[in-house]
Amino acid sequence: MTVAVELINVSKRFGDVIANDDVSLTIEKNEFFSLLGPSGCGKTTTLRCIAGLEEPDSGIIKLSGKVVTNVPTHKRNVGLVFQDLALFSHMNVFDNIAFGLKMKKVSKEEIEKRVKEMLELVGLPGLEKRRIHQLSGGQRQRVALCRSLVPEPDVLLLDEPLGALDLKIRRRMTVELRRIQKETIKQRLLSCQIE
Amino acid sequence: MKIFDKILKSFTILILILMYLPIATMIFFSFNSTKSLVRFTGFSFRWYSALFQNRIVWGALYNSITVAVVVTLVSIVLALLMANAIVRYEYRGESIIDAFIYIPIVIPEITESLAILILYIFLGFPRGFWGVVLGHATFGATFAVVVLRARIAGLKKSVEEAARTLGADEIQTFFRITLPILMPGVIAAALLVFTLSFDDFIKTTKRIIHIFFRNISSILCRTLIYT
Repeated sequence: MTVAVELINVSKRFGDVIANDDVSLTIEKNEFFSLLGPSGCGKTTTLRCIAGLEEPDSGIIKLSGKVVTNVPTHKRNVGLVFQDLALFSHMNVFDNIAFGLKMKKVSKEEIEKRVKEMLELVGLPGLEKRRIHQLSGGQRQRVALCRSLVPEPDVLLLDEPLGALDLKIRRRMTVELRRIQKETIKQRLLSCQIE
Repeated sequence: MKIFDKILKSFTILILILMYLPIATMIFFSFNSTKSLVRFTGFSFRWYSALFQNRIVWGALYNSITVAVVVTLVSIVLALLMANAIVRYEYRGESIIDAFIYIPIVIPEITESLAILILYIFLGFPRGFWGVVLGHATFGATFAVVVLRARIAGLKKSVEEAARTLGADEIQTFFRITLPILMPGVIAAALLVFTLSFDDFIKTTKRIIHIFFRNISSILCRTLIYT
């Protein structure tokens, strides 16, 4: 088994608050790994450190065996679905999902094909032209997931991905996340955090 | 409720009439054949032909527009940076700097313009086009900051972070995500600054205008009206 994510003694404090205290963990390829804990215990901080949005005060972060502690976020090839989804409200569904591919300079035809496939995978075919505010909570959730998945990140991080949904949809999405993980075999890891 | 609606409607119409009646009167008398502003003596385009032949007026209009456009661009760039600093960063003396940004809005224009004038003379800064632009921009930027900071405060940080995780560097994130989201605010601020620079600005007394513009070719619309 190859190691996808490795944290070695990662610590991060914000002023007096210690968010991560000597965190070490190893996550293997294709593993579905969940971080559990009460709110404020540092789950989000851990994910943000892996994504490079926070710089740890000490410790080493490795992705696919390479030390990335000082690599900026946009060069890490990490997908992150935010707690508040953070969709681009000024773009439609297609442009949201296509953003990562455009940044990677993928050709137009290829982008169109992959966005279409991705929307079909999450059960939202044909919604390309919709604006974000026209979508329901569950649909937004899926669009955010598509947006992070479509550039084929080495690691996909989900920060309380189901927190904003009600119980019924939440159960269905949990099942679906597993299915999507199995279908997107290219995905090396789906690291997930459920409260 | 119906009565209330009617009162509201007539009140709105009344306000609109009060606002535009003086302007309508002026337009009406602009077609007068004589100089009188009291008696309408006959219809003519006399004053319009005089206007179109007056080169100074057109020169002034051109100057006003050029100055206003440059001022708007400079103010918006400055204001974007300032508003970002105020909203996003915490630093020592933040509240003092915050207060200082708003002072130019409160200070009477004449005081401010005199201060700028004295500074220019003291520094030996030329009082031409760029002098005016700089003077206007110090003022315009503060107004733009007020508009933009509200918009920036409403911008979720996670949206920019999402762009970064999707492979966009800082510059790409700014131009593709941040700026488009702030655009309504930027346009509102730009219109405000343009209007301020275009009509309000040139310092209000004859005397200062004379000192400001002595021996220079930039005459602005407002200057002409006052002198």
